[in-house]
Amino acid sequence: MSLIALEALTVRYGEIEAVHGISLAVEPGEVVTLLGANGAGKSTTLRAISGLAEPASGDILFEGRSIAGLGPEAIVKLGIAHVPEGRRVFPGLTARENIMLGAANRGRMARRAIAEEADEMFELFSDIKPFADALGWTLSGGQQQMVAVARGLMAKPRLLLLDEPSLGLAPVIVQKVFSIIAEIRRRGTTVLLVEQNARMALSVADRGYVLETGRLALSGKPEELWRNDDVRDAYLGGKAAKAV
Amino acid sequence: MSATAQAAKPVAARRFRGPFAGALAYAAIAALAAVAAVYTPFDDYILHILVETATYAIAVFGLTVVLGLCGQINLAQAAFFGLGAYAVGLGTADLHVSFWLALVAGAGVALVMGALLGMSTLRLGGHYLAMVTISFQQILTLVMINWIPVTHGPDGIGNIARPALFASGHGFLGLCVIALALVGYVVWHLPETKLGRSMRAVRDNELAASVSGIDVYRVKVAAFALCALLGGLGGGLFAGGFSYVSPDQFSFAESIVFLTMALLGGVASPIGALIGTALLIVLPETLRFLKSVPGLYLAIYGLAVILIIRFMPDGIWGFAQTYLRRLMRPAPFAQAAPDLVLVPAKIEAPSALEVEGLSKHFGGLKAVDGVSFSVQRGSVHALIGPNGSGKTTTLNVLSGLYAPTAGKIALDAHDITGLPPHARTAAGLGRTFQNIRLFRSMSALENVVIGAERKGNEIPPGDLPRGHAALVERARAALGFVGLEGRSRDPITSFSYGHQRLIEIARALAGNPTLLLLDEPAAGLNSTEKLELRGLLKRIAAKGLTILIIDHDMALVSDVASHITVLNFGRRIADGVAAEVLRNPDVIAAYLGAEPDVAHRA
Amino acid sequence: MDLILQLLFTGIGIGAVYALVALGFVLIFRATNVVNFAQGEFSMVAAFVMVVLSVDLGWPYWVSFLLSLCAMALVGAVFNLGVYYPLRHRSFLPVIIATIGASIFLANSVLALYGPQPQVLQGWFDTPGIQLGPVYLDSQYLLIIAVTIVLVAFQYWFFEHTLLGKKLQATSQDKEMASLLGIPVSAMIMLTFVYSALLGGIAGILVAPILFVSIQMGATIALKAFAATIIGGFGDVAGAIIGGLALGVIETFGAAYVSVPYKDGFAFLVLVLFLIFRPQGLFGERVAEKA
Repeated sequence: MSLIALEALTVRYGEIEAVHGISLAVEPGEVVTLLGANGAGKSTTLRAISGLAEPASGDILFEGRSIAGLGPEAIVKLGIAHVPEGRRVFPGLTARENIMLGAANRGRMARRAIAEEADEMFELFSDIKPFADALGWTLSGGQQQMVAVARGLMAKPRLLLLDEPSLGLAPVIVQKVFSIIAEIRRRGTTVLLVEQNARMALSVADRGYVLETGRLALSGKPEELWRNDDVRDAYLGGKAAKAV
Repeated sequence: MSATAQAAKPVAARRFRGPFAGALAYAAIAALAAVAAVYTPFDDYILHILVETATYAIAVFGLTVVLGLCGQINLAQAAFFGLGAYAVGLGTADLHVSFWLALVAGAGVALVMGALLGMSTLRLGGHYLAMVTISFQQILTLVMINWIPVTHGPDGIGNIARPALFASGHGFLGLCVIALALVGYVVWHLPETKLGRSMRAVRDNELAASVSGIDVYRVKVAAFALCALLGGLGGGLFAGGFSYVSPDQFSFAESIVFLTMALLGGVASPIGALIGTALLIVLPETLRFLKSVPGLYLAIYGLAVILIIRFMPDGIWGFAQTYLRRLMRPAPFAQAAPDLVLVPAKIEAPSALEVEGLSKHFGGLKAVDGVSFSVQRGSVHALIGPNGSGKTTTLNVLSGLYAPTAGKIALDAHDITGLPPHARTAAGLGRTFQNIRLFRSMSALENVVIGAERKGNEIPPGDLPRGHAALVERARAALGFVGLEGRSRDPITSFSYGHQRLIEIARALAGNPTLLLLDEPAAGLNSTEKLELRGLLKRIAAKGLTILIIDHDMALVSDVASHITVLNFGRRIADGVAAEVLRNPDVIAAYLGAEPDVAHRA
Repeated sequence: MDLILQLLFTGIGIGAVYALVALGFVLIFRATNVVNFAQGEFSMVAAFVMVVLSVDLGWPYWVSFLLSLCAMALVGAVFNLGVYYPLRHRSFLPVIIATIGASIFLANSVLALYGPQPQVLQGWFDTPGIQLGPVYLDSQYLLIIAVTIVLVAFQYWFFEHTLLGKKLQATSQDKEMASLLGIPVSAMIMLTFVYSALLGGIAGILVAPILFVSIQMGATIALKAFAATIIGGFGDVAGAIIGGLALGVIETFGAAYVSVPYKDGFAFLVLVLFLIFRPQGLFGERVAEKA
């Protein structure tokens, strides 16, 4: 059974129909990436899975059970953590407090136990260890991204939704973020990754899907997708793709 | 009355009865009402209720302006009402000046106080205004009660005189009816004036209003001062009508009564104000038992406010209107829309825009970091970069929504770095938003008229003279240019997302800008709409207008742009002729990602 | 000098009450981005419940006090469900108008039920106060100051050192993100309203023996508390406390040296001066523009 399966999912975003009847599945232990240009409906797909956007039609099955229509608080308790686009680190809380709140979906836990887990996160994300007590808004983009991913992992998710983790980050930092994604995969957490940085995303993924204006255009292995001209078209436009 | 039907009405009237027929009919009805007021043998009790209704309604019209049109709150209307009433009371009873002089003085004092309160508060958020008006209300009550040598304290003022011509109760009612009719006419037609349109724009969307060239702060202060003025005027007449005033008539509770009247009837229209006022004066009179328990009827008002806000936010008239509107379809325009002329008023520099060393930092985040580029006149220049690279921040700094941390911006050789958004628009900047920002209570045409009204929009020689007709023609031309002229009277909410995008572009075009900034115009469009947009941009460019476009749709950018500037991590990584920039390896890496290559994957 | 010390003591005592109500303002504002114009009425309602229980029914002070607090928790919860929650997706103007409606409703319902006569509520202590050198320390003022210190300390501990406090803060900073983490956002907002009503209620019961218990007391206290939040910097917790104390002192000195009848006007004067010259308040602009 797939860990998560979308069946003919359609989502409206305000007045726009952002996702038109897409079907896809992620198996346990996989890293699957969802590629596509801006406005292709990638983020909306993730928002529908985590309960921030309500599907207009179609279904979302998590371990075979429909979660369409559940609220975000209920969905994260089932074990789906969403690290949204733009990082969304709480600006007035410290890095450590942000990370500790990631465990909010796991019922009553001793503060001490949560603090210990947070310390483990600072071992995994050693770059932000010195900034554990800095307020969220004072962190750089890369530091905020690491806090956001660590916070997502604190939920002990079976499925981690990552939305554009490379957004606005310098190449060195992007590589760090992706080595962390590789590490998450090694630890057995299933990841559904939305990325603009196709090369990076395909380098860590087992499979990929390409969205174009809300529809599924392609799917396949990373090597196949990377060689496909349509993928380059989607990102760079017709002329440029031919020039590459 | 809703925005759409209101603006549409005079046009329809003009078509059937000529331009002044509507005003004449209104004047005739008002005169008839005044004559009826003077000669109908009402008893004193009815007279009392009618004078109260007329004078209160004038004050409630003030709330129609400030709350209904402009979306700002005023919880001190009874205080302004009291200022007018005390001016007439003290002026005629103690100082023995003429009623008219006292009335004008009272309205003037209210106007000045309103303007001062507004000026001190309206730059800040709305809750400040709410609290400051409550405070003002409280302090004025304190002054009325405690400054006994002047105000007579809690005893109030008696023996207030009326003008000789309107000395009888019926005569004075006639005066009140005339005043009500005059003020009602002004408030009714205000939404069709430049000021009224600006107020509605501010209420609908402050950001869009400011980039359409509206000085949001000044418009708010004007609305607030006008509201205070009407409060003072109503109060002055009230004092004349009752010949006795005391502080408890102008307490905070009365301000809430005014507010409830406006909300109940419908805050968007003077008709609603009149309905609400009449109902809340007559109802407590008929349900006298409510008044026998102190506090009971105000408690009901409080509850009514909560319920109206929750279940009937447009009030009685707004509710009725949704049905009336279906019956009143505006007539179509007789003539076809003219062609859109896009001519820069004057040319001072070869480049339309010069950006030098622009930076914008948010805390530890360097969203834009020392970016420079120049947009050649008549070109289509694209600003691109991956998500989060600082494009939209750059655009927001360019249009004045953020102050830059460092750097200089020159539009047509004029330094606009320190100007607020509306002044940049006046200097020739037009823009659209990634998340469409239209004035949602208005029709397509009204939206575009606001764009056409841009200060500094010199309608080219040979075009119609300035004036409302010219603005409408220009707006129709702009709507025609984007292909939506046939639906110009339709409300914004009836348009598809893609069409709303086009209307937003038309709004900017109608202002005849020197430079058009387009923030992700293709976002949210389907492939057909994207194709149409591409054609539109080419037609705009063919007219010689300079465009700076931000978009992710590379097919669109590579097709329409002649020059491209590429940002990444808030810095410029490439700049130049489109084809070359798109071949630049750094740019390709920024978009598709750099190493490690998939081929080297473990 | 003695008079100055005496006035300072009185000013701090009355300022502590403003500070408590201002805290309620700030907490609700941070959680919902809405100014609750009925915040002062929480104080008024609590004082009247206290009068009913301890004066009219003659129940023991502490029993009445605890029951009054229970009543306030209920008022806060009903207020949230009836006024804020149904309007939470609307723009701010309808919401503040609704809170104003609620304020009018509360004040006048009490008037209709209890009549216009101001009521007298005895303080907790039988001893009127103690003379400390040149300064007479009224027992009720001492109690107010002590309770305020305890509540502020509790609140600091709660927000800075408990996970629940952090969840409340997270909710007020980014509701959507909080819900993604599994923080029950609606419950957090409910808790904020209940706690704010309790703060307002305690302030009302504490100040009742000093002022008369009247239906106007809510509006008066709300106005002062709002001025206090502006002085301190809108949305800033420490600012609200310092603003409240400062306002109490200014007002007490103003009444002693300038004019008694216009005592309530000083808050307005200070408010307008701050709005014109320092709208961000004493402690404003701490969080960055794009936080």
